[in-house]
Amino acid sequence: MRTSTKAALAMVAALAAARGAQAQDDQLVTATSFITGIQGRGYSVKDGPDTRQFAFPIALIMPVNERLSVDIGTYYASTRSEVSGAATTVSGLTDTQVRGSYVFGRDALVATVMVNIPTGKKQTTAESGVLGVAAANFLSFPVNTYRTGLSVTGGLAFATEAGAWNLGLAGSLRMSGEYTPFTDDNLKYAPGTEGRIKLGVDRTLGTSRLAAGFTFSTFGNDDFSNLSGGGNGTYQPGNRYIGELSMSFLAGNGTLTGYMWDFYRQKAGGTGSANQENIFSLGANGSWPMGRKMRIEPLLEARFWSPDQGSGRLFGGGAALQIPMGEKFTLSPAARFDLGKYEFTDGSKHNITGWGASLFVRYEI
Amino acid sequence: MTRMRALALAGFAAVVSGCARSVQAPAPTPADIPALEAARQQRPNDASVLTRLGIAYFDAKDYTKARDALRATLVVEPTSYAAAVYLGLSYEELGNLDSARVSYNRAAGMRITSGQREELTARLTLLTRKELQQDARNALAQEAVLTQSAPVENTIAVFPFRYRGANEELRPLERGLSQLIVTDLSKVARLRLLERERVQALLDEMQLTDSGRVQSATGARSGRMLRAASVVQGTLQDQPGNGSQLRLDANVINATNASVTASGAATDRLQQLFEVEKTVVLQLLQKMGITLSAAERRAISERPTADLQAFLAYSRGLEAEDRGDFQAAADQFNAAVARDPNFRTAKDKQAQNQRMAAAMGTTPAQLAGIQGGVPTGADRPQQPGTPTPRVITLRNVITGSVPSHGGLITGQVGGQPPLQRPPLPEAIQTDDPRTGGLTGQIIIIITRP
Repeated sequence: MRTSTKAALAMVAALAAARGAQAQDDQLVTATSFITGIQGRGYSVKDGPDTRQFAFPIALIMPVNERLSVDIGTYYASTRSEVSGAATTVSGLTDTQVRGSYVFGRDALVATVMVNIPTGKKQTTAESGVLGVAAANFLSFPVNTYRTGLSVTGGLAFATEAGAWNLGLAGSLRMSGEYTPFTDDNLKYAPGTEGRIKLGVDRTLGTSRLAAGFTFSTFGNDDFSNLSGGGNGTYQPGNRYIGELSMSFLAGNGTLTGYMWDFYRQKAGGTGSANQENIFSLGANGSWPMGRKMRIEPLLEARFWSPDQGSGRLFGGGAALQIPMGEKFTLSPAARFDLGKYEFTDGSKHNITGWGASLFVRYEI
Repeated sequence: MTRMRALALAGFAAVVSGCARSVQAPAPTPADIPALEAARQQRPNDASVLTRLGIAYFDAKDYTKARDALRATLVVEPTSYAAAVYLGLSYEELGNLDSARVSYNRAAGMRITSGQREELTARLTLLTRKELQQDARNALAQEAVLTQSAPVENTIAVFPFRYRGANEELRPLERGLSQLIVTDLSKVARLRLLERERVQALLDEMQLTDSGRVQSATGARSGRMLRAASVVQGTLQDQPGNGSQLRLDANVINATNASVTASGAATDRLQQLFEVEKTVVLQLLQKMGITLSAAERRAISERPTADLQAFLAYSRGLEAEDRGDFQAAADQFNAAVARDPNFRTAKDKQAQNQRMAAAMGTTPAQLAGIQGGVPTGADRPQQPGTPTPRVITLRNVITGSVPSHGGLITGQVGGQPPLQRPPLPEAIQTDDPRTGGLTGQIIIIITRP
């Protein structure tokens, strides 16, 4: 028995060594890494909500063998929102997501399966307002959903070269099970199937790299039942379109990237809600060495939000550091600050200030 | 028992597969250029092809094309150590030393072995010498402009002293004394001393005669090119009528008008050389109107060594270093340290010259770590983890189509350079929550997957 334990330990050590040997920054299948840290983000709207969130991410990335890799991730998050002196805080785990990717051939085709395990905190109906703010695409909180239902997403990604271009095409289908979002309500929610297609292209242009992408998502109808008061209904999520463009340059002994993206969501149907929105973002970030090991990564960004009613804009800047601490640890502190304007649905305009700070620790096993 | 054997075999197989090396091809030669250019036409984003092509161009001495190919490599594969090193070498050959330094520093920032880091440090030391020589050439080329520029206040250049005597064994003291005075004057807080090597590089470029080195007009001209406010010149000579005694004379020359602003002189036996030098330095400072603090005076009184023979060996080392014979210099500094193990400056110089001697003997392939060959990428079916040009594309489309918490968290921590990270924030990449909470638009606040 002791001998077999030793053999098992030897095998684990051998696997770890084998995975370590594969470690390279540019690999699709990376070295085994454990990542944790803390992320904080807050927004304060004058005469509006003051919301802040602290999230503790936990992720394990692991190449099982040369073709199969798995990542597991979840967060513990605490979100607090205060409106007119009344504060609500929601704290707890989020759902856990397990994703496996298998590479066929020479990086030509990758099959991916992701399972969302509903480990997240169930919310009360009173807490849903806080989570609604955290879910805003425009604000980009680290955690925008605590708990949904069990879902499985399967996807295939394909890449090839066409002359100077690299072309990538990926498609996925997400099938979700019915779940009860609230602890104090019997509402049952059954999301429709989501289909997603992403096209990506990139190429080098002299000493620059150009990349562009387009994502289209479409959804089946969501059905809900047992709504308070006994109602049933259907919600038809609007299609989503995301366009991305980025250009990276060698700048000194680092890289500089200019980017823009646009997110457009069509109006939903079935409930009468008018939640069409468009978010356009323009920014630049870079990465330069500081000293022998550390890197600094400054960021400047502008973001514009155009929903059905109202509007918002944010101008932000910040910087991150990548600090290797020996062979195994990497420390990544970051901070940013945003200023902007928010227009409420009643046409009134309010200043908004935002902040963000994070500290990640990565340990390579 | 069978089960145990199976476990052990599984472990062994994992080690074998995990440690498999990528396929290496012999380092490319200029003869490979046509084939590599054709390969680039077909696979313009293949980092392996671009690296090999850059190296082949470098070996063919076509440094401009080498630079372009290697820069392109670093766009496709920012962590290519070989490309960063060869790019630095190409820049050196093209005379663009600033960019060479940037490339070497970029390589030094990668995950490399301690041996590679030492080799890069030595290369950077050699590069510093090249930069001094290039600065000197530029100063001569731009003399007309530089002589019109205002000098940098309180900046002093110390020329090598001229030895006027019969004992050739003492001639190396020309450089040793110069270095000694640079060291002593640099202890004065308000003075800024130019490195001896910088001054020597300019004098070498000017090809001054011995007498030229002590003429105040020449000193002023050189000082202006160095943008120094003052120049220290001087002589060391046998005392007439008393061969066992040496006389040290030094002048401080105003670089703007060539006037002598301070003088100092002292005479004593050779064994008292350090006392003579300290006396002259203190005289110069006094005549320059500089009042020393107690700490500065104490610092100046310190001697690098009490052993004159060690100092002579050190001075011979400086001579050898100036003529680029780093191994001979290292040997002389080593001899100095052997006589006086506490001679710290000699110890530092010994290590530095040893590194430079080693760097001189390092081939580009060794520096780039490709003496065993260059990865071809031909082993990709067995090594799917090794990057192809398509990896970035694949990662991008997978993140967009099947995002996950784990993938997004990883992307935020160091693993990927910004070049390869999608700019979209987490909220956009994940799912489709209902929004509008801020503006009161929300109708149903249920987050859906």
